[in-house]
Amino acid sequence: MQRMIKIFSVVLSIGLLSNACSDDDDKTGPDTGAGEAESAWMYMFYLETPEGRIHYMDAVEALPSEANVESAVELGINARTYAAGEHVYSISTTSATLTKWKVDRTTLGFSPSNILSYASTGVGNGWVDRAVFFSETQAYISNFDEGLLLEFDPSEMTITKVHDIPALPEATVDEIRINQSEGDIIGDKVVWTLDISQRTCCEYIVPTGAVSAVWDPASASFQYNRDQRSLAADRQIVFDENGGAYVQPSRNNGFSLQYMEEVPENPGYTLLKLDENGNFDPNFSFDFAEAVPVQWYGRATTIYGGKIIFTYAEFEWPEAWEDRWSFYGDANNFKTVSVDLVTKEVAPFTAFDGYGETSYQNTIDGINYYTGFGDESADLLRQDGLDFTTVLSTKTEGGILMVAKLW
Amino acid sequence: MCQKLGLFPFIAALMFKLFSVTDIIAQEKTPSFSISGRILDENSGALPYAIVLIEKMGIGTVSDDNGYYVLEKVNRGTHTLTVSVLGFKGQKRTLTVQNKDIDNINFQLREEAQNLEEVVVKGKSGASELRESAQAVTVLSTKTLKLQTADLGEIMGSTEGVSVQRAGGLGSNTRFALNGLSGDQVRFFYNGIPLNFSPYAFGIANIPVNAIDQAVVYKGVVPIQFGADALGGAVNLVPPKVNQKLGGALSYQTGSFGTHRVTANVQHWNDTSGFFITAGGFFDHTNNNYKIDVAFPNEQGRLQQGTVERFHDAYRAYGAHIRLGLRNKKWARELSIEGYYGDYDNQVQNGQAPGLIDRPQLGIENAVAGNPFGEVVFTNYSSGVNLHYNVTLATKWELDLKAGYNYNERESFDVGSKLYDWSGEVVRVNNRPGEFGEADNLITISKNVFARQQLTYNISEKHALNLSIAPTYAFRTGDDLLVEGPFDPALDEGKLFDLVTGLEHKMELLDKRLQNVAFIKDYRQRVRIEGVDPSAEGVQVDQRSVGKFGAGNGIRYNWSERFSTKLSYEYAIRLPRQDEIFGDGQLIAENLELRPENSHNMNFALTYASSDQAQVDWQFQSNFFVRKINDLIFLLVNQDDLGSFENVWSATSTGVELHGRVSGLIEGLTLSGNATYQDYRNTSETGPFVRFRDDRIPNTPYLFVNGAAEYRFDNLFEKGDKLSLFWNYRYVNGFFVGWESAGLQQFKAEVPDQNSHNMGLTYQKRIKSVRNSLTLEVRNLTNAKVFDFYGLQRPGRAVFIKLTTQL
Repeated sequence: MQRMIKIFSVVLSIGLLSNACSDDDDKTGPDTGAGEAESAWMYMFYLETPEGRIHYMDAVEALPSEANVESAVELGINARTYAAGEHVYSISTTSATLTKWKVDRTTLGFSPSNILSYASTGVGNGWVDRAVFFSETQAYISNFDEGLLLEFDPSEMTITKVHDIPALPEATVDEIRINQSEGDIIGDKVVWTLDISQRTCCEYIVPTGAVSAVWDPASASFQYNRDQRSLAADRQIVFDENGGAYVQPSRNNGFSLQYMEEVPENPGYTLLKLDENGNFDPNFSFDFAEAVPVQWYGRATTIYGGKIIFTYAEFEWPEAWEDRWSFYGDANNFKTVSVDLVTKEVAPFTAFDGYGETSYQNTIDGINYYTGFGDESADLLRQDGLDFTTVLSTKTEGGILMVAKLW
Repeated sequence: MCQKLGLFPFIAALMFKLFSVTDIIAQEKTPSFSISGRILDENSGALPYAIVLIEKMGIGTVSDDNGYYVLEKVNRGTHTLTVSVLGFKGQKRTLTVQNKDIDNINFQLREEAQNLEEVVVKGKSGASELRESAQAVTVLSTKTLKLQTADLGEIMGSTEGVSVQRAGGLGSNTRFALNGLSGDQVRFFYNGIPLNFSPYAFGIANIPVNAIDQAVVYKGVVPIQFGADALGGAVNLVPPKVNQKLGGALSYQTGSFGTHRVTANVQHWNDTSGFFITAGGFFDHTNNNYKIDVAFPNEQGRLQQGTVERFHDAYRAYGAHIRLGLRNKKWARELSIEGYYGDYDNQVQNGQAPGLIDRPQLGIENAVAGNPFGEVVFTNYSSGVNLHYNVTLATKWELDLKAGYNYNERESFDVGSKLYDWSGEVVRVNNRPGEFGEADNLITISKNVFARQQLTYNISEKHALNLSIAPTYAFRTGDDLLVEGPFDPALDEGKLFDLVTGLEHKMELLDKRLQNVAFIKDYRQRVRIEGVDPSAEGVQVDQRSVGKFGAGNGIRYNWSERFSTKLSYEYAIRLPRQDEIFGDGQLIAENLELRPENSHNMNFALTYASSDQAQVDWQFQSNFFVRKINDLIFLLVNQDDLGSFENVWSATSTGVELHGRVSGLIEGLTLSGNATYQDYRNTSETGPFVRFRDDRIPNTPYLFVNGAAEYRFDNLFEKGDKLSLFWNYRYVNGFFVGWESAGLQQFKAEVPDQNSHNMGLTYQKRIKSVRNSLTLEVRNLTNAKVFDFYGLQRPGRAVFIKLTTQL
């Protein structure tokens, strides 16, 4: 009997000790040796687990060929990161908080320096729009459904003011959904394009047109702009090398044109342009349908030298709305091309071959970075040459969602 | 033989069961009759496996689980019946058989001066027979636990090999894992039929303990009679048996968090007519307003940590059932019908990931910062009817048939527009309703029909064949009440037909020291979904059929009376659910190529116990297990949140369970404990998890330990009363939410180690034939901050009192 108790105790002790030992394996951050790092890059990626998708971020002196999975900082589910100056900010929609991170100039290790909660403001009903860092003391998180613009001071991590702005009229229509907007700074304004799409079939509820929202921090004024030359706009603005801002079609326009009854005559695949005040330029529009047999417009990665690189799909639509996404199952349906916005000349773009879709991430030191989505992973791609014909690949386990350079 | 019966009645009992004495009698040509009745103890409790003999004729039989016996092929004349069972004083009765059968020859035996527990073990109760079978089972008796205040989730969680993770208090979401496998991989049954065909369709953790007598945990190897695609095992909850005369029980529990739990059951059997009736009901209510740590913001968005009461987490459930029928007839050992109804309402305080902040350097430690919900409610009700027919078709043939119909309706109600803070105040009214992020008011209706047919053929005293046919049909539809237009995917009609057929061979050799059970299973599934899509003409139909075989074997060998071993294996299958195959019509696409999940499950168990004569009674059990799981299904989602279920990963769970119990070291003291270590690791060779091959499966504990002590004072205040002091302890190791090899440890989300203690005392006193008990219990004695899931704090210290009365 005593012998068995001993055996029992030994087994338990081994288990407890092994558990306790694991706490000693902590790392404090990447060890880059003595002295400050000459440069610091940060990137965010996600990993799939049986429990869902978990996000991570990492800071490195040079972008690695593979993500440093072991030394990254775990952010949890439903996370997003931003870089402003030398600081990194992470937003967690589950806790409705924005955390400011300091990156050590020697070790490149992260340490949280402050937390801001927007839980009681109403901007975080479910998901939140992307934060826009306007200056060192002015940043914004928007919610156009609720008519709210949260202004906070990123240096102090305090809420400056919650601005009441007009809620988008479509917010009260249950069949309409506003996809999260990604604001950008254009001139001295903060501008968002709003992807307002139909969530149900098959009665088209509201012909929204392309919609932009413009906030003027100087005058604390706000306005929506609409342009009926497009059925609906995408949430991501595309910039050319001169800072020109373009509004591309919504990814949902193809579905509206195929399945909705009595669709308005607004073109579904029109590229528009914003002026320096965030208004639609009445003198510019480009219809992709005149250049390529587009059935579904994906997203543009960049505009350079008067040419736009974008992905579209060409296929036979299935009969039923419920099957509308089935074309995703065949990578051959997707095509990435370069189109001259003046001559409408179409040229194949092979640098993204092997990826179903590619999305723009950031422009750092004048070079564009993209994410190429493969079957089971996503690669970080670098524009390596102006002719768009070569790219460098940084393979990660999950999907790169953001890359930035801190210094 | 009679001398042997006197010395080893339990052995003789089983020998009689298998030797088919009636075969010898069957050869006689003179007219014969039957004598039947029931064997009871002093408290009118059933005595199974009592031996009933007419020695002169050389015929005999054994009473069944409910104490009933039928002695057939009795000639005319005067005979002396002898009844014996270990631990009870035997009886003889002389009676004369003329020209008809004789019923209701009942015996009530007095207990001999022996330890009652010995009688239970040696008398081969149903639980003992299961434990000593070749099955890989743990049998949990609720006899003592019924008097205490723990709910079934907590009780099940204290069983070796079982992990029960709770999202909160009573009524909260539960993850039940068996050797690592969880969710649909483990199936639940009530009295041998799927749990949803009972009034307790709202999760195993919330079932009142007093509504069941036993919980039988089948680990990885599941008998064919359940007729289910259980990948990781099954749990069968056994209701109280029907006793003679009027019997019943009543319990009432109240205590912290506005908790009230009532159960009642009553039963009666008329041994003249054979008519019996049993009825029961339960009512549960709790506010679940226990305190949790939260991080709440000021106007500038700065967080402060504080403690608040949960304010929207109430749970209310009630249900009833009634069963009536006839027993002990020539044409039926039992024919019964049962009707039931169950209903629950559950407020939802937060989502599954409420947003925990753990930044001690910033003054926030394990505190919830996400918005609470104030209006989300889930409701569910279930009703149905079950039939049971059991008959001995011929000398060696027995048929057991169960069938039932169930109607289940669930509703999720999330249309609130108010934004709450953790003090329960409304801080804003939103334009967009829906506290989960998007308004939802969905009704899901399912209508289910099942049958479980089990045909047994006793080939000889050593061999038996068992054929099980288990068809289940489920019809599912619903209604999204927020959709006014013609297109409502919730209106789609799904039809699922499962047919699980099993054939089992059981043999007992070497004087019953060796038992072997071998079986094969055939799984058939047909799924069909019909829906109207306004963009397409006619009814849209998706359908698929799939078939799969499984097999297994269990072997038990008794090396001595004190030491036995078991080895069992099953190639187990889980068929995909219809939503996994066909998606949701929105963001999840169909995948008609989806394969069933499969697993190679193996157990090796050792049991070592003290001798019958030992003063110190002890038992030690160990079980080593392996689960090699393939084709696991996972929802793969792309950058547009579009996805489909795919067979993309695999895992292996290996581990050991240890269980020990000792009593008699000090008179009145019983100590018990168990520990489980499970090494549940990712073995994917392709797919999104391949980078983390050999990592532990995230969000799953791998070491849990339970300890219990009970000290009993007998005859404390007066003769016959008992006072028990008890203590229960549970340890669960901390574990990561994500992959263990990903990310720096200090920033990883981790569910911390869990140490919790419960302590209480129970006073039992019999007033005439009524057994009464009163229990006072403090749960989570140290008020430890306990988490089962990341961010979901469980109740702190709580006090409960429970009164139980049993006839």
